[in-house]
Amino acid sequence: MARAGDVDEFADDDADALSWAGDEEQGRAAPRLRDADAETPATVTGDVERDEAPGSAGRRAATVGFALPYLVLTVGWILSVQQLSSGATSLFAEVLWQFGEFLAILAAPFWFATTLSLSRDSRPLVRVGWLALGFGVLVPWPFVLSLLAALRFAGSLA
Amino acid sequence: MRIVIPVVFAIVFALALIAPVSDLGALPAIYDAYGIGDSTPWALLVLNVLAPPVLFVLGLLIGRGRPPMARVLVLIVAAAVAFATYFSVFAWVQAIQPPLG
Repeated sequence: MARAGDVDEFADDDADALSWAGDEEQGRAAPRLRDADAETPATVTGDVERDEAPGSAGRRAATVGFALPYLVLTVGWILSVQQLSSGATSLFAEVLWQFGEFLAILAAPFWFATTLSLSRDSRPLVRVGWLALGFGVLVPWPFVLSLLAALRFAGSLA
Repeated sequence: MRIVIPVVFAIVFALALIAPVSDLGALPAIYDAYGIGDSTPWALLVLNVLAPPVLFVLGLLIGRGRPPMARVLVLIVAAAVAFATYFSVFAWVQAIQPPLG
């Protein structure tokens, strides 16, 4: 059965749990409770912004900026393979030609995806450089040249 | 696994070489037969033959030290670029071909 003295003893234990040795010397006799007026949400938002990897905004901008040109390249290659014909007489040569056309269509989206995957931790300029290089290398010349020829033909008619 | 990926892709790049080598062997003779042998686009034909091995080596170098999946991805892109380059050069050869006499 608890006595009156025991209650005082428990109260002293609670006070000990809420304070540190030496608090009195530092003028902190009262238990340190969280300041209810502190604007905690603002601090949390600032921390999240600080956690973002450096240059990630630039990388994201490069990704968005090159997405449409690479889509155009892919469509250009789909149209390009319509212009090409192998003229092959053997089944092997024809299958090889079709395989090549299939890979040529995939070249632009695969270059884009591979660049995004491998430049995840690189500087934004590295990603921009690889995407620009791919854009230059993967111009769908079969379609572009036939388009130019058609325009020249139309111009000669006019 | 280290050797399997390059060997498999060496076969793919060898397939990409068949058409360029065939063109390099046959096209000059066809141009000669039509009397336009002087207009043989040697630079484009040689470029077509060089592209697959150069892209294969570049793919191996870029993928070096990366996980197997990344190396496969890089080599797929290199193979796709090799075929795309072949079709582009093929289109240029056709575009600059003089009228057959």
